[in-house]
Amino acid sequence: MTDDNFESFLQRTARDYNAPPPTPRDAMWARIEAERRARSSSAASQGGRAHRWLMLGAAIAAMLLVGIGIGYVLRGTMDSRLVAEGPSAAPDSAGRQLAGIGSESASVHDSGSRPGSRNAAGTTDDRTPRERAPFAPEERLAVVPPGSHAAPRNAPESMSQQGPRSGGIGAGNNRESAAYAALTAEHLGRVEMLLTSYRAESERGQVDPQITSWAGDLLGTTRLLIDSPGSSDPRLRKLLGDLEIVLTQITQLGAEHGSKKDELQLIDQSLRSHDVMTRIRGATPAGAGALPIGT
Amino acid sequence: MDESQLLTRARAGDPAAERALYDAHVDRVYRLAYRLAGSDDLAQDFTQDTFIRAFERLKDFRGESSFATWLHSIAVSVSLNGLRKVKRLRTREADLNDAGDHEWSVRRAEPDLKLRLAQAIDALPPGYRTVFVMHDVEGFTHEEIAGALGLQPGTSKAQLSRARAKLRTALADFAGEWTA
Repeated sequence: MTDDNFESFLQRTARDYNAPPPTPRDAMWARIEAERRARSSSAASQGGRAHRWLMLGAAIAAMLLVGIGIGYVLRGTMDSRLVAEGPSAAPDSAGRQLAGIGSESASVHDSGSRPGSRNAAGTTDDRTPRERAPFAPEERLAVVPPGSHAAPRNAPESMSQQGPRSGGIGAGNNRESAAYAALTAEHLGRVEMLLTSYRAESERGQVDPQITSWAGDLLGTTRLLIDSPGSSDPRLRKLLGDLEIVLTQITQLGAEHGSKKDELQLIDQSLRSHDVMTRIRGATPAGAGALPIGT
Repeated sequence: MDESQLLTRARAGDPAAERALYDAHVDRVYRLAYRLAGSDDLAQDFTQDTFIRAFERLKDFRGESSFATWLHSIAVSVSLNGLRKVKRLRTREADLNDAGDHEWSVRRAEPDLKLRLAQAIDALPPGYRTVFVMHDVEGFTHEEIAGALGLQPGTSKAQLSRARAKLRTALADFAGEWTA
């Protein structure tokens, strides 16, 4: 027999091969439309979310830059005051600030042994080290617990009782403290926002990697604030310490593959047991941490 | 309204034009998907995916071939890729369950000609099978097949010839059916 016979037989028989039913047009079209709508809304929300996080990151970076700027301005103001205060005091104090030396005993020792303990007029300078260097390094760099006075050991009793923030001496410190307080309040506002976002996410059992990344950024700032000489308030230091733990836990979620339920529960437990949110709100003035419109 | 006008309006995002294009081509796409997949669920999935992709990429369609050829090339690509995934999954399941109740096992147990033919078509290499289904089952021309599969028409003819030869060998027991 010929191939033609086989071909026609094949075509005739093969018509029943996987014979399709009538086309379900409308059902398929409905699903096509739904799928396309879902894809376009998903793409739009991903774009919006990325934009929101980008703006948030930019706001945090701007806040840090402002903080650094305030620090430079304050340092410049204080250095110029030191120069105006007297030639014998300025080099010592300014040099210490830059070198980061700041122990009380070192300051006393240096001031007693240094040839520059004579003033410009050639007379012996019998002022206390604090009087010679009003913005003494120990005030800038040492963490001074509240109530204690960072006066030199050999300072007169009245000076020791006067404390670092009295009179003209305290003006620079107040400004420094105000800058620290402003930065801390701003930072606490950011942390509150992060923790609020985190709690919303953790309720779903999965935390967005951008939140863990954000927590990492805030963790760095928290550590800087803890180590700052301005962090003299023990309650604030305790709060920052607790925040450091919580932020570290959230950051470590990102290092693990997938947010584990146990980890999320531990973080929630930390938040609740330390009453972190309430303490942040108590320590944050209204409006701190507010972001520019659009973030 | 002709197809080029519909395409212009669909590119501009006109839903009515998209629906008109869908209505004009869905039957052939669905039939082809069903013939290749052998399952309504898979055929519907492949058809939907074909049109979703086509509408997403409509701006890339330059009209160098007909819209139908372009659409069928997407349909074949979607179907063959989908079937590969399904085959992988079924192989894994078969390995795990060591099940003997597969469709082809049932078919082997039946000495019926149509079932033997279905088994033989299923057993063809994917390229041969696609050309055979498109030409001998769905009635595509070699030019259409070549356009959809990115082949030369001569290659399509050669693959069809080899597919038929394999089927003839597989159906040798039933030679009387076509020699009578």
